[in-house]
Amino acid sequence: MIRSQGLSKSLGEFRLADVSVEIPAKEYFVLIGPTGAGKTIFLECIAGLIEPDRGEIWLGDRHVNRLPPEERNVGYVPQDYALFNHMSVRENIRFGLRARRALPSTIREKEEQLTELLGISHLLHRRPHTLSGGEKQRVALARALATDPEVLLLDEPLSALDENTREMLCRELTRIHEQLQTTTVHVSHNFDETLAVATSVGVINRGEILQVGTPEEVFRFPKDRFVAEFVRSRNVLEGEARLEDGRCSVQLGGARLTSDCLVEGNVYVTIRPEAIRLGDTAADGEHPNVLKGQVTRVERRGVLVEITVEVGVPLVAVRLADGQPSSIPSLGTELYLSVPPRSVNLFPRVK
Amino acid sequence: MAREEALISPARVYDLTFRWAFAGCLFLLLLLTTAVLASDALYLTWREFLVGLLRKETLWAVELSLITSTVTAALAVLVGIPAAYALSRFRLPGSLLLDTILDLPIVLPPAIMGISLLVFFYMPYGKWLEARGLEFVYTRQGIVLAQFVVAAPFCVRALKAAFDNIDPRLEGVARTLGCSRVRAFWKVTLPLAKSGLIAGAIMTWARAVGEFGPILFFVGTEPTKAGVMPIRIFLDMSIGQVESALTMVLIMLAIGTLALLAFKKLGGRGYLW
Repeated sequence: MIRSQGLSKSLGEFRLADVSVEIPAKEYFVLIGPTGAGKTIFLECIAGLIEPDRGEIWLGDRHVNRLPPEERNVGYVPQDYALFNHMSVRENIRFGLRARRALPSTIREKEEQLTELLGISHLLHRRPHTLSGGEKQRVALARALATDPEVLLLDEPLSALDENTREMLCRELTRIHEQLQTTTVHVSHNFDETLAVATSVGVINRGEILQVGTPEEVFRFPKDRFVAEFVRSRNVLEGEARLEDGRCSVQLGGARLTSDCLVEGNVYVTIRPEAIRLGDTAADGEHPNVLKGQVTRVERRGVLVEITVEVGVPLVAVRLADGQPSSIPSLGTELYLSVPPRSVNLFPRVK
Repeated sequence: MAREEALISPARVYDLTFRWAFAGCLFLLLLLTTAVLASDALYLTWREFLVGLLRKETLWAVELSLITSTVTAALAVLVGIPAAYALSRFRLPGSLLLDTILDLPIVLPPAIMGISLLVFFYMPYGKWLEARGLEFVYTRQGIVLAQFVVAAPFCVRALKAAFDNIDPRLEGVARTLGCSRVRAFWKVTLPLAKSGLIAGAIMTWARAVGEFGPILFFVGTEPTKAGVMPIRIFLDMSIGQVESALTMVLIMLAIGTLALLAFKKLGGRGYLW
């Protein structure tokens, strides 16, 4: 378990402001946020490489604020991997075990286990600077895992890799985590990556943790405007919610929607574009949220087409660009929008 | 049609003119240095050079130069490695002031450091040190001290450049892997900075070999005490022994060239001269 309590640190333009999170043991926690949000500082505070200005850090039942990094038992893989170029891959992997004066038999065993797990047995005699990005990452992981750390800290482990390598390593990180069950904090700015690996997510911006939850929760039910925009909800609107006999009805612009969220007053409304069903006719009445409007914008986004429909308020929906003529409607087309009430996410708007 | 393509376009002419004009300035400078230094070699016949080289005084000056500057460089590196590391890694208060003080001996005319040393040992605290056996004025250990005051700050600068090139995160990772601060420095940073440090040490040594001003003022010109090569060259020139002076000039030229080549081969960077 990792617990930070009121963790604060100012470091030039980067900062952490009163960060309190609890990451249960064996969790794969992804801390996601834009560049400069304070993600690396958070990792380095846990690793003991940066001393916080205020706040407490707990690893399990150990209060580690006063412990130097070498006594914290954390594995740290910085963004550029920080491999030791003056040593072979084997020496890199053995480095931590030797520093901790492990028995030669333990060293050999551990090395074998990890090189096999990561598929790098054939690289042992190489120098790190001759490796590809993906290989470097694996070696860095093996080195960090060799000492059986209580906590594994990964700083943007996938961002410097090409698309294919990234996908492969993503799967591998999940596999390694399933096998070793090491509590992991993985820092990222990419939500696709996060959805692929995380069992739990924290969104950070300007040094503040804005929301913590399962990837699903954070993705579908953001509780903060920044989070909503960061996870690309696309439809982030202001509205006014009222409770009427147990149901919540929200007015946004000229449209009225029913929501499963039970909030009242000034709210933000977020609807994921993929939750909106588009049709040429009004669908059957399984829920009241069916709106009619005209297409005002159509934009290709990779395999998706983003379609904006004006229904008293512009709402963005997506369709697969599957080659069917209907997937790319022309401007001005009349379409029906249908949004299930559980997909209409609301949270209070302060001020 | 093909002929038209073969014509040089005006843009190409501008481009070539630009390159030749700028590179021309570079060649001019190189020519200046080469011509001036080559004159030293051209002035001497082989015979004069060999005679000059084998003179007792010359050999003695070479020996004294090599010994004193090696001792100086060794001391400078010994103090310089920790100092450079501290300067590169620690967040020190008043770092602007620290930097300025450190660089002063490099920027000031070297003779000023010699004069200042002389004054220092004239002051009560200097006299106090001297009375306790730390005698430097007009002595051979004075040569080392005079070289040291100028070469050591230079050394710190050169070594700092080596440490600046090593990502501090490497040490951070080493520590999370179980290294103490000392072990992380010893096992990671020092080996990685090795060639940069050697490069810095070589330049420090070369700088010490070339030191003249401080020795002139602090140790004097008495050949048996102060007779390092630069002093010897000065003395020989002033009494008209041009051949002997130029022989040593050529030796120093060789040392300087070799030191620079080694420095660049080792990837040394960021030094102040």
